[in-house]
Amino acid sequence: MKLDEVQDLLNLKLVTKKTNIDREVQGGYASDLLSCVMAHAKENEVWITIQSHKNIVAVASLLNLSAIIIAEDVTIDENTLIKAEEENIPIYSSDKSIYELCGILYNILSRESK
Amino acid sequence: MYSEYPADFHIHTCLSPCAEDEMIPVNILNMAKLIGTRIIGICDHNSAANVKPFLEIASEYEILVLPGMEVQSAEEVHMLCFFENLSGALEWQEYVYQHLPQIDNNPRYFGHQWLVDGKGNVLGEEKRMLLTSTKLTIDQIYKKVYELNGLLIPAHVDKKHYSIVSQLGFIPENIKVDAIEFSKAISENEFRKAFPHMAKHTFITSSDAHRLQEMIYQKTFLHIKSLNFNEIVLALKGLEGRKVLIKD
Repeated sequence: MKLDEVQDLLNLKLVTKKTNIDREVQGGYASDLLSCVMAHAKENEVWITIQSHKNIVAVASLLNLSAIIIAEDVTIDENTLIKAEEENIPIYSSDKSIYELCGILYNILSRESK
Repeated sequence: MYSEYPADFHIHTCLSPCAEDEMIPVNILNMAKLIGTRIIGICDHNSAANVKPFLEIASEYEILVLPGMEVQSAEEVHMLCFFENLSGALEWQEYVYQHLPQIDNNPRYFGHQWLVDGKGNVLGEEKRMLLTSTKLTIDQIYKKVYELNGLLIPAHVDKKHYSIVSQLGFIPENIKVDAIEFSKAISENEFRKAFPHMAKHTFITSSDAHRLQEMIYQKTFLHIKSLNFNEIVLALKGLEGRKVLIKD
């Protein structure tokens, strides 16, 4: 599925400017521990978290993740957004909880793969 | 001439809900004296309110007490902060308290948060929950500690929870730390192998004692000229012949 379709289906707000959202989404990963994300998230997954320190951009870039979704309307530091634009990592904001976002994403992606 | 001073930078008192009631100043100082520890860091969770009674009775011991705190950032990173004197620690505490969520502690689940005098007489109990994240980001913590001329040391970086590595993957490049602490769960050699990118930092390892008997883990030694804060700063920075050694 394309990232912009995920954006519409999850009703996400894109908070980075000039980041390329023409990307594939093959799955998702959710954790707030960056060490776990580095160990377990895979390329072309979207990462759902409430962690908003700018190190999230480095981790997403390292793993070539499709995007980061920051749940629960957590405030995102300006430096995180600047870094994300430099590294071309789209960041979305959502008022939904991680639980809701994962549930919806899991449903739409597993339906697509059938 | 340089002398070698055994140090333990990370000791909790009975103010930390997870620490035993026996962790009162007189007991901790006597245990340090028994073991031979000459430098002790008092680091309760998100509070420095029990530092003063240590300083009041420390002159009876030849032990340097470092006013400190183990603050928990918004990212759930534990950081040790140290200040030269009580006023610095209390100014820091005021800043932390402003950013501590207003949640009452439940002693039945988490334990008591006793405020004591040097002998351990209870002066009161901190009602606010200390065992939680402050709203301070790691950047805010770094800036404020730096502004107050304090020392900043990421705690137990090898742990899978509440460490700068577990929470943030690595130390953000803008954060200048004065040392890094590894826990007693790992040896220095194991730590060096597991965290090769940490090699440029000064290492300390501490007991993180929540009960008296845990203070027996004491492996950090400072080569300094005399027992004062400035000498500790020099040792952590590895300047003017001062240094920190870990003996396994």
